[in-house]
Amino acid sequence: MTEKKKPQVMIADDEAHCRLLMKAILTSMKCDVVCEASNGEETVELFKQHKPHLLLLDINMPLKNGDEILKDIFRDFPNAFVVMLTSVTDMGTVERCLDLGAANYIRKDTPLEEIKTILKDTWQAFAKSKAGTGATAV
Amino acid sequence: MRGSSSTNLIDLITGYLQAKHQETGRSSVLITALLECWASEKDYELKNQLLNSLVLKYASSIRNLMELNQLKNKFLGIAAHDLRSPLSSVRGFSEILLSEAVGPLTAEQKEYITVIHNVSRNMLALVNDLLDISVIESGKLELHPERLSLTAFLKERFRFYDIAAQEQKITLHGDLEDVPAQWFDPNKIGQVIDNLISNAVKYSAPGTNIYLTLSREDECSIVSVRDEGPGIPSEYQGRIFGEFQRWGKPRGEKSFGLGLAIAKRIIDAHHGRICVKSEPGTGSVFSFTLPPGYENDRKEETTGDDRG
Repeated sequence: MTEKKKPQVMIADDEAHCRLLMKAILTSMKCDVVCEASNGEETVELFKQHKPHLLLLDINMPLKNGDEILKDIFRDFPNAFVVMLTSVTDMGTVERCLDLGAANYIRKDTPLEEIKTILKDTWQAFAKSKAGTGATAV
Repeated sequence: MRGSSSTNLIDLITGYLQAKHQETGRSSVLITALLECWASEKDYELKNQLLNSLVLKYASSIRNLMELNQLKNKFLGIAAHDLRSPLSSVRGFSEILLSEAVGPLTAEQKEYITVIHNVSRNMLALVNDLLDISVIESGKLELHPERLSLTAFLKERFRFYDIAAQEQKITLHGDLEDVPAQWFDPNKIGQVIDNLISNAVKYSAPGTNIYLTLSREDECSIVSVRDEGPGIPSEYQGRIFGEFQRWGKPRGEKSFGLGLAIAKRIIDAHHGRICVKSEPGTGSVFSFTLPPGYENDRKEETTGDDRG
């Protein structure tokens, strides 16, 4: 996150107020929210189109669930940087998403400052782990 | 009743046969006794039928109540879940506005948004408690244990507790013994300690002290939170870890009285014990133990998490 160019982020959540809140948080972190999706199919389509540095992905989405979306995305972009959003931490689903390649998860009721810290830490850890592998994340 | 009438009947028949019809009146006595016996048998049979039907009705009532309870838990879970997401947003947006990151606020605007922020934060805490208890009640409390040092864990959280205490002008003291690493679910145990500390803060007057201690006894780690609040009357102590139990009025804060019930279920799931010692006027001590035995059992248990 030290690059001059703003990191590009995509937010996928079926609830508009959740997308708006995450957008406000990311904007305050000097990120550029390049696109938003409100269902699973739209998420896969827009991700392929915009190739954002980070995808914030709600676990429960209409048309396609979080784990199905992850499978679709990682098939074409094995180095994608995805952080799951969840309102109810059904740990079984979260673990499945982490196993599929998601970098971390955030509970939606987490205080804002903590969300920022989790995102920063996860981003740094991800960038470090992917250093030199041609990852899409900054 | 049945036994004695049968014995009487046997005596009568024996007597009748021995008398060999020589005495008059014996046959009518025998018939009366036989009728009595028959009536008694019939009565017994009817009572038995009644008992059977009552047992069946009772079993069916229990089944219905259990189904209704499950339905209630499901409803609580769905309602709490659906409320939590919008409440998180209300709290989040009010926090952003209050930080004035999107523009300056007048004093009046700030005051109103502070109310929105505080109310939504409290509602979110209530909803989270409801969701937790519905998950626990449905038997879905699952742990995600990690091998960690409880000392380091508590030291890290102490900073946050200290800030919360200072806001209420309460001094938090820590006496944390070095204990070896052990298996526990950090999210769940953190939730228990958060609850004990926040209760202590709620019930403490400004200028008083709260003591957080970690010690070790018989290979068990013991975490205690002691306050100098009003204490808990003995009549409440027995049911304080039950659901929807409250005592006193801590600074008008809303609560369902579920926090300690949740804490107890979490500690039970870790095979530990939680207890309270208190005398009105001298404060309260809430303690829980985390036994090392959990380490041996954990591999056999299904693990998971339901942080609601």
